[in-house]
Amino acid sequence: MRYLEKNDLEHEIFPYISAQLRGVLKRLPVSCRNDMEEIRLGAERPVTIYGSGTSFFVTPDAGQTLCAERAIICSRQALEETISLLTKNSLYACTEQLKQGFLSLPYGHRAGIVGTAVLEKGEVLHFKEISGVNLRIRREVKGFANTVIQDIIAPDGQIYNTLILSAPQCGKTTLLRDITRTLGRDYRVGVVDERGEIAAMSEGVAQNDVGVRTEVISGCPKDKGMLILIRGMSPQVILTDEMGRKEDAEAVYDAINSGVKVITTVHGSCLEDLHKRPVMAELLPVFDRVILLSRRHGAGTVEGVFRRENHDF
Amino acid sequence: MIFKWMGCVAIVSATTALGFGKSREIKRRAEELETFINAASLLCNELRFTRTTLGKAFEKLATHTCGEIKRFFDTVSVYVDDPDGITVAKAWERALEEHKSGLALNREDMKTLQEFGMVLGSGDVEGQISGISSLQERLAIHLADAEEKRDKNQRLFTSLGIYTGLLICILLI
Repeated sequence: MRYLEKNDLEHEIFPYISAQLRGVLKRLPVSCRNDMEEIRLGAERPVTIYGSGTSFFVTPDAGQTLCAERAIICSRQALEETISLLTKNSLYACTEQLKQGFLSLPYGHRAGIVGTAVLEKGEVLHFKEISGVNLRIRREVKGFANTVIQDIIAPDGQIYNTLILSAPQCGKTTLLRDITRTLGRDYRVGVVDERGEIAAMSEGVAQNDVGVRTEVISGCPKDKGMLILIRGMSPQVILTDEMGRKEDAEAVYDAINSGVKVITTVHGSCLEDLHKRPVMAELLPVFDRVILLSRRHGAGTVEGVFRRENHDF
Repeated sequence: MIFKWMGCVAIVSATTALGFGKSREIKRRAEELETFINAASLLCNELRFTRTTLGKAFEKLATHTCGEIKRFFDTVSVYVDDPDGITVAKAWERALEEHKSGLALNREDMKTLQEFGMVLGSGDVEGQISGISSLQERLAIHLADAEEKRDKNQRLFTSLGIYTGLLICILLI
């Protein structure tokens, strides 16, 4: 698996972190930065790095420690500065994402936000007194789809409706992204990139390679986005991430009934998890393939490709 | 004798230039206030319809304006997007400070603009739009004052420049 190079982090992640902490993180060893998957900043808590199945705290001299007392602390001011940088000093422009507890960054990275929720009529309006930020670093792995692409495309060139099933942090979005890129070479591909993680659109241009024939709707709920694509872009296949709501399932039915294939992802660690969730249990029969991922040999381990015709599920 | 005439020409030219300068400043103040009011409308549209971030919005405002106001918006855009992170209010204030000598606005105008900086970037879209509307209302009052002064005093200062020069020459001669 290819990791982000040093320069990528400096260009794509560090500018969004408070200057106070940025200087320390820049001095972390290259090997450590290469393995980074998450940078967690909490108000008055140690700066924590997650990656390759392990985690550590960062010391003021850019070292690694498992002892929280020796770690550099993210002050409230540093956290607020980080939020300002993440929102580009434009909180109003991020309200829809903040309601869902995340902020999309360029290049497909994402920042999870937690704090005190402000509610109105039972709906989360936004968060006040933000207490933590989780910077999730995306990996673009070209060639990842090669392991499964022959299972997704039929001998006659038709694409199978495919579900990518995995627990968090196992690479399902990374795989989806590379499948998009691979299919986007030859097929009319539509992507509903609700959280900006697949294509990472910036000023109308995809920052990730999603293929030359791929059209992207960004920042739009999946059900609405799929309908727009079907009506306007006549895709052969639609790819979207994190299926789960009833509305999403209905949109999938509409797409398939319109002759459009669907490839999507869902959370779960085994096939039985799909049957436990009413929406997915009802939707499962429309899929021809289920690809199961795990972290058994690192993120992106393909545990199996299950086929409907073999009655695997 | 010739030196006297040359001196008179120099004095009249200087006072006339001063008069024209003052007259131009009065005219410019009204123009700049109108530009800021129009720019506020553009900003409102950017925030309301496309939820553009402030850095990009100010960059866009710079393309729709010219002269010192354009340079001001360019500066604000750079400061707002600076990863070494100053607040929007500070970015706005700093840019105003840098460009105030190039603007024809008076102290009250500048104070109104400075206060607007405090509402930028915080709160939701409705809050931002409300702040922008308030700015437009206040600037409209300043514009009415500027236009009144322009209509009354523009020609006055131009004439005053010429006649003052002539008077000085007459007194000296």
